[in-house]
Amino acid sequence: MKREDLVRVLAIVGGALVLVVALVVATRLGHHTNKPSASAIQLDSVNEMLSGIPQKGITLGNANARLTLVEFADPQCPFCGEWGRTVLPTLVQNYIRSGKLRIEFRGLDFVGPDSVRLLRLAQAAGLQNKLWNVVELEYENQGTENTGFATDAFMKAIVQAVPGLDAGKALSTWNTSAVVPMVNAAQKLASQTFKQISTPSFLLGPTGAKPTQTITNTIDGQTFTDAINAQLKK
Amino acid sequence: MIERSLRFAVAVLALIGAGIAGYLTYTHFNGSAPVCLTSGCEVVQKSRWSEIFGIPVALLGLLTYLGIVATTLVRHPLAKEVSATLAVTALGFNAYLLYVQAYDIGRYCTWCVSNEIVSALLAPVALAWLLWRPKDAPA
Repeated sequence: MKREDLVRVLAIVGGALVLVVALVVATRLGHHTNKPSASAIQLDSVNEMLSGIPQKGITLGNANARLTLVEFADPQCPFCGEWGRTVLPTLVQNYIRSGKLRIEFRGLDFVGPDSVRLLRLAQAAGLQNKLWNVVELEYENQGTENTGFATDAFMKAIVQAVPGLDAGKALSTWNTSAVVPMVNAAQKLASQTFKQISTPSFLLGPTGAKPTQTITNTIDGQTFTDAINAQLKK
Repeated sequence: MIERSLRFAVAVLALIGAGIAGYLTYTHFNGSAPVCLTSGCEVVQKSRWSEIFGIPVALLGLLTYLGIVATTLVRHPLAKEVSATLAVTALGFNAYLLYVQAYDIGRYCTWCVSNEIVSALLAPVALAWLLWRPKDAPA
């Protein structure tokens, strides 16, 4: 290689190196790590939203509702959290509270160790028919994935924020075999239903019958409203 | 002839990279999970590493690849330098992103790995395009 070419290559590699270092530093500094404080759990309107709506195990809503929506979600997944914070309140207001729709929560825990802890806690609350309050509070206070934000203190603060939930019982149950069947059932259903699942994913159909519609790759509220309205018209 | 082939190879590789980065940018803004061979794509795509100051990394990749494509279309004396600088930068940053997938996230995204392979091919071709000159050309 000629000296002139060598200089050109070194100049380019040097310039590129500066750019790469700048980008790497930006990625390290540019995203704050959202580690929610256990002492400041945000209740927002979760408990108010769910107040008075029947819950049983993993389900929310009237057992005799015409339609059932099955939600496959990971408590750490940001899009699941977004769906829970933005779309669910509309569904509760327009369909669940009036008894037209019920929802099943099928929790998955593939994102990481925090998912396992959060999901098990939710399932433990489900044993007391308060799963939905815990799931939605977890979404409301969701931290950055896999940062270890689901500490004992965080989990304690979550369950203590749910009215009518025996927090001590939930905290003594979440890490026992009592919650395993629900976790396993969700994973089995997900693998039977989806070739490759992404979260959140949903199944919609008449209650008690095989779901007739799959909703994936979207957290657009209008999509859910349209799908539910179409099925209610049938 | 060789110069044209190298220019064409740079353009094709950059277009492939732009396609991959474009798809990942689309799924980022659309809020959907990328179609994936493993569960890693969604985890990586939704991880905190997928943005720099709120700008999707995939969008930066798309702009970089489109910039390289543009250099193959213009006849500016610095086009090859810009192309090589962008390609080597993409290679370096993609190597870092591969490290992030392996050690920070613990999952691999097949689209991202494909993109990293494209950049690993593109950088040497862009450098070859920069350095190549006909034997009878003045030094």
